Amino acid sequence: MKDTRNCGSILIVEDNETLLDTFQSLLELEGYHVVATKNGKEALAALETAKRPCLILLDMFMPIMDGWEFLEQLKLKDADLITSLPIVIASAAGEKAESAAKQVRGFIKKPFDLDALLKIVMTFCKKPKKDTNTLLN
Amino acid sequence: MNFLQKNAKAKILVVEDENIVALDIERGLKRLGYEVSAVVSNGKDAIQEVKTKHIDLILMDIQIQGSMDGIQTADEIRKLFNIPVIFLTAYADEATLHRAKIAEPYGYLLKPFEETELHTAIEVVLQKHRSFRNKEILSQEALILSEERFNLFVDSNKEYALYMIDAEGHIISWNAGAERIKGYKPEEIIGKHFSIFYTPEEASAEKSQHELEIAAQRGKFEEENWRTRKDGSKFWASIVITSLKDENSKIKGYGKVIRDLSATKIAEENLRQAIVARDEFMSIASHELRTPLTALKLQLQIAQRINPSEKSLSICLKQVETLSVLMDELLDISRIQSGKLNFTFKKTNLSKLVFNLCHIFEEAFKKENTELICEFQQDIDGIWDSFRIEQVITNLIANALKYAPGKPVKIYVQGNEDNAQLYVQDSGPGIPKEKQKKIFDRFERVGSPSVSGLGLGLYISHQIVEAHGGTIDLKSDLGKGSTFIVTLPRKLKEVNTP
Repeated sequence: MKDTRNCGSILIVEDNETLLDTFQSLLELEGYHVVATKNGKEALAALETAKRPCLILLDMFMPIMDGWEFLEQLKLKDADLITSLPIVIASAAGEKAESAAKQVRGFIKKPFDLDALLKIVMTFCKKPKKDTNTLLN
Repeated sequence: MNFLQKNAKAKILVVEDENIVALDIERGLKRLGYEVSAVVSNGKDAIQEVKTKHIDLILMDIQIQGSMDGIQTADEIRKLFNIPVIFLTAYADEATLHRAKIAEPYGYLLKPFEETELHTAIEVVLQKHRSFRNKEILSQEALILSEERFNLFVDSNKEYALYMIDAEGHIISWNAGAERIKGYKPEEIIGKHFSIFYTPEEASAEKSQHELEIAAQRGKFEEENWRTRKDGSKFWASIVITSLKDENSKIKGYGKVIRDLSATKIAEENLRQAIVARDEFMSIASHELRTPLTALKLQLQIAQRINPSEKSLSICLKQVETLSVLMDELLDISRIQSGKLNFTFKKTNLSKLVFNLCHIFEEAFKKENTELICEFQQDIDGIWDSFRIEQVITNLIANALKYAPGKPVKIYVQGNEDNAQLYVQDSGPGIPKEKQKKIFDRFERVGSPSVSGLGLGLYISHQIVEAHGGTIDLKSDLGKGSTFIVTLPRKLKEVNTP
């Protein structure tokens, strides 16, 4: 089977700073490169400058620009972008979030396990640095 | 005619074709103090007299000139006026008496008669007639009074708009309630066509005409809808139009009753908005709570990976799990309450679902030293919402472990062409009979208060199973354990979601 994963960075879009820090530190500990953004607007800017991420972990309820607006902005740029980009919504279950999740590659319900998160990351991303400690059991 | 005539001179018409007899009667009457208004010799003249003059009594000879005899004449007069008649007759054969009876006379006098006989007969008849008239007047007055009372009731009623329209749709009456509710004064609205009450859009759709047609066809038109006041403001109205028909079923007009239900409608709307606001709050609160919980859980799990033997970390993690479940329950409850628990029905393999759950629960059961027996005889599938059914089974298995730890728990699946059945059987303390009925109610907990949870799990499970058209039953004996049986129709039935 051909490995379609790339070594790009993981783009996190999450307004809760503690959670954002948690994601960043644990994924960096695992040897991934992380770009942390606090809302959709920052994430759009990051997508402009950074190279294509291997995964976008997207929260939905955020100030300034929420997840829905972020997806709309992507659609405006290019209608295919939201399906071609590796977007996984990380949100509390809710009708609105669940229906948005149908448009993208995946959905992970908060609160989720460390293992569940690492599995998703491994599905989409290759580790740029080898021999890093893995927290995955 | 009224009571005052009692003392006035009675006016008497004499119908007698024998001149001498007529003259004799006339004199007699005058002597007795009566007024003779006329003496005529035939029926035609008699009818002419009663038409032109006021007459209190008729003395009618049966054998008279002309085409009509006295009986026929009395009959004709009776059709026109209510004037008492005394027949005068020289002979009384059975046939004549019978005919006379039909003419409903007040009395007879057989010729020849004495003046005193005449006097008595006249006084008796006049008295009889007066009392009859009095009764009639009284009952008419009673009718007028009751009509007045009714009109007063209708006119002064402010709660309901009550008005009448004629067969063509013109307003012919307008009560105080109509004035209050609609804002028009009687003088500005009576005579207008009732389509004036409808918006231009409704008028062009001929709504007013349509309503009358239904009322005419079915006797009644009813609806609850928005209506417009004179000032253009809207109110939520209950409307009943009743058709009024004459004895030949021809439409004479319509009665319209309108009640302003805006206050109720506004209260309902406020309630609906409050529910929407509550659901929104629940959704946001649930999200806001989950985000820090995610950070907490991840941090704890990272710490646990680094230091696996630290017992306090696993206790913290367990509590985080409990918090997640409670939040899910709260969110589900608010969805059930607002009818927003959505289902995605698709082909689901129940046996596989249960197998996976048995695997997931394996560790938890091991920790409690509880045996988990999962039996699969066959693959059973159906059209269900797999996520929600998984939720039901998870709840039942978790309950069995929670309330009957240390005793084996058995799970098995059965099925036929129509239904699938899931059994979750524990060997715990069992559930007392009086608790069994209430167990699927909200906030009902069977166990001791030390067992955590809001008591919503079985309520939610029950709602989910019912939304599938299925049932959830409990068989339990004290000391012998409990068995929960979920029965699901394999094909989707028409059911109302809770």
